[in-house]
Amino acid sequence: MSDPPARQFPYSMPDGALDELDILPRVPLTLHYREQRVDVIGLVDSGATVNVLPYHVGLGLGALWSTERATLRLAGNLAHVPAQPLIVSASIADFAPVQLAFAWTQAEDLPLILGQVNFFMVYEVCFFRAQSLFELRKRETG
Amino acid sequence: MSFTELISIIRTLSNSEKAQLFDMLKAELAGENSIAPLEHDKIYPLWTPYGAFGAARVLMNALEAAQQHDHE
Repeated sequence: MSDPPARQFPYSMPDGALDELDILPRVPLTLHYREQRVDVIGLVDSGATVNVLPYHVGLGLGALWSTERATLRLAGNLAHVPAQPLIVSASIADFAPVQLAFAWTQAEDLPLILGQVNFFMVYEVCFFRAQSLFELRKRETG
Repeated sequence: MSFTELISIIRTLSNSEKAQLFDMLKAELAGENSIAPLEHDKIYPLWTPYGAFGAARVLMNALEAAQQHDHE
């Protein structure tokens, strides 16, 4: 499957947003883990060191919280919330699926965050805030 | 106090006090004219995990292990 050169997405308002000042770069994606799939919206966050998966999304994918998995230490508001790595397959628009590594956290009240590791390593991202658009391009490998 | 009275008081200030007043008014004006006004008392949540470099390294290791497993 060959990837399209680039795709543009509109900024959109998260739940609870009141007006157009609150729009954010949010992208629809489908996550696959073993036999399960979940449609979600991800916040494209260039300041985030890692991808973050809310607890209920991981459960929706059928993942089991394992005490044997490595423990991740996050920062900021998430500093005191347990997290562990979860590798899932993700499809965005008509790009070929990619593997995304998430810090699956027990926090609920947060968006699914797409951060530097590894979303920004897989996709080149251009923000056009004045036009309320952002663009994704799959990074060329090899 | 009228604007004219205020001006006459300002004229009595020293140069350094006038400069201080000028800086204060400039800062106030900049706040009022900001492009994206921040609303008083509104909650702006920041979930971004800044500087979680240790977590990033663990995730990269997990990803490499998963990819290696897929290739076997």
